[in-house]
Amino acid sequence: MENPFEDRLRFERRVPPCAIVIFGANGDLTQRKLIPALYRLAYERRFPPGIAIIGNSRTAMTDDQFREKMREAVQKFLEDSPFDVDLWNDFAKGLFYCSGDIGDPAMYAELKVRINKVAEERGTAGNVLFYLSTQPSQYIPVVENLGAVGLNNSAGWTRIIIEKPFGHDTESSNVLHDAVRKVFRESQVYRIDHYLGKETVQNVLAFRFGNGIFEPLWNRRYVSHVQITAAESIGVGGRGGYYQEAGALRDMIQNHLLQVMATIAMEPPAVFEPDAVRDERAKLLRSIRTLKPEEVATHAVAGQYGAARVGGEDALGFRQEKGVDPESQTNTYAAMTFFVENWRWAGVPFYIRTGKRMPKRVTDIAIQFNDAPHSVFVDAPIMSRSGRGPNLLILRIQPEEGISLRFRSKQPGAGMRLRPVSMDFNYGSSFGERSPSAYETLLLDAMAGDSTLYTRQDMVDASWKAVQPVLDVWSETKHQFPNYDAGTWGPQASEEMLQRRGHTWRVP
Amino acid sequence: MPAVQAEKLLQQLDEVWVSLGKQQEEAGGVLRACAITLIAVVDEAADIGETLADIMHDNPSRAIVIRISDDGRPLSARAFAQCWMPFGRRQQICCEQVEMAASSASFADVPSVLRGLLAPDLPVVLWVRHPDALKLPAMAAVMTLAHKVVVEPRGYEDWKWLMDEVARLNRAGIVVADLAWTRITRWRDLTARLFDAPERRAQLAQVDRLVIEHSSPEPGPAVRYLAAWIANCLGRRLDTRFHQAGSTKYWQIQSVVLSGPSVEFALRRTEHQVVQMQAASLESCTLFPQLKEAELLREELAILGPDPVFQKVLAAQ
Repeated sequence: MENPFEDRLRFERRVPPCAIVIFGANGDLTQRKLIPALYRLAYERRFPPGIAIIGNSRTAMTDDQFREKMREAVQKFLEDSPFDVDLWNDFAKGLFYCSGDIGDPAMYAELKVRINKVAEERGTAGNVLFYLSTQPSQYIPVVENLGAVGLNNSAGWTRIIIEKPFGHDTESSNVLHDAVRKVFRESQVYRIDHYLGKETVQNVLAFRFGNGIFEPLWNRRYVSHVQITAAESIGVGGRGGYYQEAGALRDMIQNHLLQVMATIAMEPPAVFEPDAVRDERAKLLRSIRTLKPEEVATHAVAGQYGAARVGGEDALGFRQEKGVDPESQTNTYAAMTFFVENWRWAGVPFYIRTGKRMPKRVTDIAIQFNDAPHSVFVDAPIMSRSGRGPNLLILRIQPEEGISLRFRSKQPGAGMRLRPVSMDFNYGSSFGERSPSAYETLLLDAMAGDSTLYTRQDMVDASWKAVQPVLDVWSETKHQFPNYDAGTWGPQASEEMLQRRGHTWRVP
Repeated sequence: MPAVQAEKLLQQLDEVWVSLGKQQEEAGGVLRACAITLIAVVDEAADIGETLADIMHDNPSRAIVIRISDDGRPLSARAFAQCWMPFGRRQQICCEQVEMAASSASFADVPSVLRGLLAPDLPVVLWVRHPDALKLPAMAAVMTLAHKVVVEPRGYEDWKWLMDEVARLNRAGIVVADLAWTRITRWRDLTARLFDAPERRAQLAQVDRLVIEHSSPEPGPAVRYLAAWIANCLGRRLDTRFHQAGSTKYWQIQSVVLSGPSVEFALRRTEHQVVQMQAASLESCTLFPQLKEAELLREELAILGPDPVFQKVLAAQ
């Protein structure tokens, strides 16, 4: 029997009550992102009554101590909304804590008892969502232990969210997948890529498939090339140890940016349903041409920032950062040229770059359209001095989400002088309502059983396949690092990579 | 030649844009934004500047504000722009506004001017904040220009007539919204949440009584809409009681209790703008901050087509 009071036109989508079990509940991600996102969902009345959150970590704590710690975290990290004491008190009633080592099988037996007790008290109907917010090396033990005590199934639904990285190369990704699939069905597994939860990334789908005017231009006939940029102005900070093992290519391109590229370049799904959308994304990722080892030098550039003076301050080089090997060969900048082998995109380069310590924090996608075939304006050449044609569509992901279309118009006054103008759609200014954070969107989706914005294993496999040749060649290469100054847009070799095809990087 | 001409107003708007563009040339000009035409019919002294500014951010519009007085003045109008600077940006975003003043008599001249003033190819929403205007003969012609009519009953003494009028407009095929209905979305949403759990849903068959407490001497439109909606959803009449509890400037729902011989489901407003949900094994609270006029309009502007649930409620009146 359906809820007779449902009003889909006016009410927000509701999710069923459930218990959310967070492994690594004492960690940074939980305190900075997860609990504030869950509180915010409660604030927005997006939660059913009776939701329960069970935190786990090694630190011994009572339920009340855990609640107090989470209250501090919410007060500190909550964005765009006030902290309300009454609401918090109600929310905190659903917070529980189960301490113990995640390598210890006895802890899972205790956790099972706790989940069942909470189900009875809070009416969660046996629905459980596990969230692995731990070190990646602990994913497999957690999954195996959950399976050993039968926590992979319940009276309701059971789902598990896994944070990236999904392995550190093709082989380790397969090892993780094998361990997970022994315990959970693929439909139970939600691999989180928070980039896909960002409003603008979702808006790419609306923009492409909700409008009739852009899709006809979305192909090799009209698109010259695509540039995807994800720049950070900060260095590695306290993540030096982790970052040294990962590097920019693994940390950003293999997952986030290839998912973004897939969203930009995928074919339209027949329906907007999780598997239909994910099938198209996976198909696109599988269509990326795999580089031959001898092509890596011309299609990929590694960089590492060196010390420089930035904004009146001395910025450390990567090798001087805390926890980093002074001879480190880790890339803090990576740029790659990808080609998609299908009829739509054959011959269109997709340039992707990401780096630390760049001039500003910005993530955007620029679709550069081909020039007009012939200029009728003698004094207005089609190409600008930067070598770019006039028509550019920019999808801005952060910090300011929005869409801009650049085109030429006549400069007012006598004579036919043209100038570039920009038509902007800005999420922040066009929509007064605050956009939900990526974690709010994705957590709610997982509770609702909507996996559209989650990554499937075949997508993970295809992404690793696309970058593995570069990882292999770079692991055998002695790079001349550092090769770019902190506060700049990356190594010169990256510019040269584009110049070979007559293109240049935009300045975002 | 009529005293107020749409063409002249449009020309004034063009001049406003040229002037703003020149003032803001350094910052790359101003961004002109328009997604709807919003016609607001208000009384002479109404202060809706803040509401218009609020809704402009997510519903940039050509706002046409018509102020009605009883002094027999002829129709007059002026055009200007409302601008704001989004945080962290150099470029201003501006929306057009036309302010018209009319008396009950000169309102007859309004439809012909409006026809030339609507932003082309965009939806038109008519917001009647001064319900007496619905009694003006020319209002029928204004309504034919709108895709949706939104009425505001708050503070209107003859609210029973207004409820009948809303139902009549609905029967006449006009897409009509009543902000009293919009104000109870949160109460309806919470009522639905009470019955999300299948075990509580199974107890609905036992419910035979509805008590709604309100803070006005009479149960106003919101209370009546809520009761009609609950009966519609359940498909049966309940023993329905309305009680006054407390007193506030405007009517406000204080509690909604559905009960039967052995069940009770309650939503109760407590202090600090909090509403408690209570059922057998359930106790939970949720925030009900004071709703701003702009938030209500935003909800209605997001639904430009018919609202079938509200239509059913109106049909049942």
